[in-house]
Amino acid sequence: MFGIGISSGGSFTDAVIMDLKNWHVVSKAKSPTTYNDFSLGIINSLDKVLSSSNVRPEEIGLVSLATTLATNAIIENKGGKVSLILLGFQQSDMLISKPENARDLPVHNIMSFNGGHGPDGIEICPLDLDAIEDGVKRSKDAVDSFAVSGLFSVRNPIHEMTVKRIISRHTNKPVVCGFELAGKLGIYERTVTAVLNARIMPIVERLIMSVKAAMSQRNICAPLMLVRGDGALMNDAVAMERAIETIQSGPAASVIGGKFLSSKEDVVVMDIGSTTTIICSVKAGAPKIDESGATIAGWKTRVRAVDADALGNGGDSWISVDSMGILKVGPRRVIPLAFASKDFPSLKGKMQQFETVDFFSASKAMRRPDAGGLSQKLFDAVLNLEPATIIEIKKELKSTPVDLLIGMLEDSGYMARIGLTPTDLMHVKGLFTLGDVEASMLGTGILAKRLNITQDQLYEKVWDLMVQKNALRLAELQTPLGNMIMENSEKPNPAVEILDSIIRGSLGDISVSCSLNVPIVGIGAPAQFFIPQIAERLKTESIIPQHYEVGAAIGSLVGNVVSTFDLLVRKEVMPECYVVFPGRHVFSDLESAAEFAIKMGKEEAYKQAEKTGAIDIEFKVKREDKVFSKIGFMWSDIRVTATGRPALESKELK
Amino acid sequence: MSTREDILAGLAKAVIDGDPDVSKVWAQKALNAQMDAYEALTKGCQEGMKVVGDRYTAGTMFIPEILLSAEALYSAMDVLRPYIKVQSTVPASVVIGVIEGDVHDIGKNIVKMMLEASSVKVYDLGRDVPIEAFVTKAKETNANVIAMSSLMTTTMFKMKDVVDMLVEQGLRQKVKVMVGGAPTSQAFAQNVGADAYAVDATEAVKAFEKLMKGA
Repeated sequence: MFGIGISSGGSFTDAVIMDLKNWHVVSKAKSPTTYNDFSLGIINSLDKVLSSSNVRPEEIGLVSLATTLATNAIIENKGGKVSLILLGFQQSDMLISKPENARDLPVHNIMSFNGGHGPDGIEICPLDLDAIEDGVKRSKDAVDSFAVSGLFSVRNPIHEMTVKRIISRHTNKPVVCGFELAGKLGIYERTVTAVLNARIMPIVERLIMSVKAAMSQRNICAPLMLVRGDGALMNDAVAMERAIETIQSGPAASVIGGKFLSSKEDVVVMDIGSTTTIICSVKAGAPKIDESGATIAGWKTRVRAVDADALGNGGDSWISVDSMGILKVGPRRVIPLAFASKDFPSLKGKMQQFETVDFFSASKAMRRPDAGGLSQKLFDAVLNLEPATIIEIKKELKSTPVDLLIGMLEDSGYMARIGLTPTDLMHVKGLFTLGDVEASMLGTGILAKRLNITQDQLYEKVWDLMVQKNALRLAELQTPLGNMIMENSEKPNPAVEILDSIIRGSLGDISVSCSLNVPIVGIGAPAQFFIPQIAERLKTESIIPQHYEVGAAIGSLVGNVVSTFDLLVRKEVMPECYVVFPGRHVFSDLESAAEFAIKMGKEEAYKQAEKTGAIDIEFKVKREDKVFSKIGFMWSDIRVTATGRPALESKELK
Repeated sequence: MSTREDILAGLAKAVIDGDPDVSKVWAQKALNAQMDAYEALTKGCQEGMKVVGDRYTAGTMFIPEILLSAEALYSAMDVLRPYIKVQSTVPASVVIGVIEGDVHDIGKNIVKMMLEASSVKVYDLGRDVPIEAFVTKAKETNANVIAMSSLMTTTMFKMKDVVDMLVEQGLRQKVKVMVGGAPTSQAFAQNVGADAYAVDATEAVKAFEKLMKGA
């Protein structure tokens, strides 16, 4: 029996076929990621990986997919219309809870009703069922889905459940409750999670439907699974319900893949992609998880996900010279000259004519502006001239503030920039040959001339910048600086400067040295060109495992199905009792309460794991009692984790 | 006419002696001498209060005496308050109270007084304060800190409820939490998710200042 793992990243969608008995890779393939419809690139890679192996579709028992679709949809603020129902919490309270700089909730309307619970799980105020029913009737036809979020629903979800039932009586549109997706305190974050989930459900569903249709056309009867942000797998049905959990799916697959390929328990995984470098540490075999929840596009969620850092530094980073004549690499991502030249035969001629390496393309952008006006005019001009130089565009649109506008269009994805990149330098060095080597050479020459250095010197400088930036970021992440330093902040930070000098080996006249005491595992196509040098700077071992270039695709296949359920047992006085949450189950002694909590946790976790597509489910129970001197037992946090293998199925099994 | 030094020393002594009538007289003298009211408060009364705090820590002064000192401080403050022009310290405010189910408020009152003497705006909710009241008041006043105390082991878990409520309502980043009272400890404070624990009133002021600097 075989499995197909697919990872759809920034530029490429990778696929592997693995023998599920011994986890050997039998076939691998790469295809371009298709932004306008992710499923096309995914299906292409599926076909490619199948045709390059002897494996028959009937032998495929599992297809698993890591995709940035949900993340992209949220960043681009796409999705269905959501009606938000708050219980025991007002819209004005939401504004107070909202962190500074956070974006507004992407909802169609918000309705607040009496209800909600206290920290003890006791109802603060009964639900106003008639008012809720009226509200639902009024908004059901204007929206695509509902999100319901109540105060302390993690302690007692009964109000959210009741409202869900009411909504389901009037419409069959999806209803997402806060407690279903997050077991932690924080109504704001739970609400964000529920709303974003409700919003992107149709987008993820569409992808799943197209991939499943393609699978059945190809005679693949295997279950389709998606990678969750924490690296675990979930089947298509659950992924549609819990679409939000696929955010950070890509980085999670990278980390799991890196860890799997290295066969080590303690490592730092670096996935160097075309657009970003993912950095995440693995301790005792488990990737570092952000328990408080992932932040996406300025929205703080309660989605458990790998705590991976994404550095805007990869093969397609833009090599540029700023107004001070200083060479820079990234963070902007551009289309490498080597690839652009294949689409635009006139590129090389224009490079020579204008002595430039920077061009703009409209047709290569992710979308078109539809607002009309100046941006439309600029877009059309670039479309007409492409690949367009800034000189040509200015000539065409005389009095327009072109520089500013084009930057804005570029940032919003209406315009794509073409430029010199590390990918081009790799073409020049003969390390890559996919694109047009001549264009890369031409570009390297032009930029080297502008800087008055040789092409080899340019190559060395760019490499040094890339390697140092990655090494520095990896080091920062080992310190509190990791959370403090915003990438590309303009202000120089003395602590970062010191760290930078330490990695370079000297602080003024003081010789210093630092060494990372875990190996770095490199995955992603350019890994072999960077990771050994990064590891050298940090004086540690580098591991470039076999199949490193498709590490994330492997990582999307080797994960388990995992379900966790969090409970709380707390002591109350007058009368003394022990109460289990969620719910409010009262016991007279601690051990009966704890026993009940663990049993309930196992039942819930098992139910969810089974629904998610697991077999051979095993439990792990973590119980942490809080006992204080002078006070004695106060409360106990219990987490039950159910882990299983994905259930396999194929035509042959049937 | 008394000198500036005389007045400051007089204020300090009146506070240490716990004599509200005398402190009122010295406060008036400060105003008559055109002294800066804020200076009189901080360099006079507050210096006296510091001595009181030190002696309390050293065990040479006792709670009833401190309450008298507080009264002396308040009566001087009543005279000086209208003439205090600018707040030179960072504007900071605290919601203070004894947690629901507990009526032991002497410690809380001392902390309140010490904080007020350091020009902190204090919203006193009194004793037997329901958990929602802390959160509601902090929201309403935009307070920087919630300070709670409890003297009974049976009411301690309510402190965790207040912290849980702040977390649930997304206020935890905005409001710092201090806890105190006989059965509490540093370990307790850490585990319920409070930012600071103070063993007595002088420590409470130090902890408060530290929290504000960190903010």
